[in-house]
Amino acid sequence: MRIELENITKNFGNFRALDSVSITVQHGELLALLGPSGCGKTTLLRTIAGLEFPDSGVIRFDGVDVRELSARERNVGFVFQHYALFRHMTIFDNVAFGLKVRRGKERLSKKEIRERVMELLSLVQLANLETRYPHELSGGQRQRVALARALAVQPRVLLLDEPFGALDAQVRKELRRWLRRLHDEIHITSVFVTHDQEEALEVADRVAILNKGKVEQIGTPDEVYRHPKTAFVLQFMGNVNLFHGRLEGVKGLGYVRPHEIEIDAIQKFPTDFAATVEEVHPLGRFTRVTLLDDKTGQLVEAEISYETGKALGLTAGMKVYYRVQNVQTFDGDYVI
Amino acid sequence: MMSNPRNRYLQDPLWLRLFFLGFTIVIVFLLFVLPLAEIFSQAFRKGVEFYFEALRDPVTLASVRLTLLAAAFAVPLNLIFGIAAAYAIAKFNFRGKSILVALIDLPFAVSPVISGLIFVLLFGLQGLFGPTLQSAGLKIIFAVPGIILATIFVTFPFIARELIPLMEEQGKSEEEAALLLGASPFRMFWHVTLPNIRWGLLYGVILCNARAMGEFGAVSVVSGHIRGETTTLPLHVEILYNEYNFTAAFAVASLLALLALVTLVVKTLIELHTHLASRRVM
Repeated sequence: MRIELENITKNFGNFRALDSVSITVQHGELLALLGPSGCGKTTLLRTIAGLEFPDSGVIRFDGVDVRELSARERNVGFVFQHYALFRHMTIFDNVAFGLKVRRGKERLSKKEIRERVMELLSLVQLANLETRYPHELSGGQRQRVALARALAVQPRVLLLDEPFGALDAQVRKELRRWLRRLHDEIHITSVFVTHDQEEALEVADRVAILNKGKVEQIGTPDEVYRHPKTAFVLQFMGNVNLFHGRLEGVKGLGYVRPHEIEIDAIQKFPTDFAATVEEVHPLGRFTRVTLLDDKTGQLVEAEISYETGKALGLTAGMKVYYRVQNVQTFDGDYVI
Repeated sequence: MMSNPRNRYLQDPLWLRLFFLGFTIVIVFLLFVLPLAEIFSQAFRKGVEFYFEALRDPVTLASVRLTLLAAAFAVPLNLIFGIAAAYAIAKFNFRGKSILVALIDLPFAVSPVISGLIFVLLFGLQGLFGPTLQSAGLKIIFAVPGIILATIFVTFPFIARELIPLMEEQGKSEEEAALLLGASPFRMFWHVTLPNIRWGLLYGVILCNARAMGEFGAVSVVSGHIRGETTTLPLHVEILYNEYNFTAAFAVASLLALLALVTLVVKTLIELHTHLASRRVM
């Protein structure tokens, strides 16, 4: 299903949570809503679900205006941040709930419900846990139950609010790969909210970056990472160093990522900057080096390969030279 | 405890612990256990036969019926009201929420005598609605309706107070999940909200019932003390006592004491259950 959001605006009292947001989610696409906390991403997701109603703007599902439809009538699957499993029901009853509350023609027989629930539980790899209660499951398992419950009613769209937020790092990584594979299998139009740019880049087909209730940029993970349209997107997608008009050909602010800085023991080019090593942090396959620019006193963060760092023999207090390999500005276009 | 020498510096000295414990036990014994035992010993002073005879007295039976009637109105009404108020306060955002919460607590803050007087001022002969009620032939003050109203008023906060923090803690996402899965608001309430609050609700009902049956002050003001007609159990105890009919007074009082003991046991069982449940959840 295709979701069109057009100029959605939502206020909570004096606080503008969404400021004329327009996004189109294509059929079968997995879109990430990425942004810092308070940027409006969860409000936008809840607006699509019908849990919040916008003050102005239009929401269309496959071209049909759904503004008048309640959450019940929109047929969306929703996975809550803390799963919101029914705590007094077994895993089976949780997944079956949406099927059991159906009325009239749509109602399935007990046998059909059982088949469908067991099918879903095996899809999320929890087939043997149907008699357990939510509190007996681990975070990752609860997550998958929540997903199975949302999928049980065959929703037209799947919405996930910080689906991996409450999990530890290892489970997170596994689950997001699993979600990506699951999406490739069932191809349901999906929107998920996250504040973790790595997660958005890894899982999503496209990423929409929100800031203060506005869309900063929408694009494929590669586009938003390599070609950020605004300074906010650039800064949000990873660490960055700011240079104030000191780089050749750059007027005003220049943004340089840590891995775009090269460190050398000797000056190779006249444009190289002299600096003193402040701190050296080996972080696995790369080493993070904090430099103090000798001329401006500015701190510059660089990420170099572990091998390079070792070969240079970097230690705190050492005199070095650094050069910038790539710089981005938002006053004009690309430089270098 | 003493095996780890570092622990000794972190603990209060033995004499202090013994003093606090002993002091508490003495106070509890003097103020609660001793009087309770005394009620039963006084009640049975003239023998078991006299005890049951005192309870079979028609006026006593009438007061038991009236007490049960008042509770039968107050508890279900406050149950509905308590759930509605707690749901609104815990799950919706609206202006004046804190004022509403404060108002719900009002019966706790006001002396029961004042609570009774409010109804006299409203429905008494000289009261605001007095003349209207009189011309309609309705009697509220010094009659059963007044007793029921006063009982409802003083037991108003019990269930709501119990449910508000519970519902606030649970949040509304389970309800939202139920709606998104296609449940009607009624089914959502019946299958999700109610099962989640059932123990808190039971706890509130037990306390509400105990207060409804035991209320003295507010009911005393609106009752008029017409024997066998407008006297509840606590009022009946007072009347018997004032007539120097001590054994009968204590026999009737023992019923209220039994109610208190049953309430205490049920309350403890519920607390034990929720404690175990909360340990399981996290």
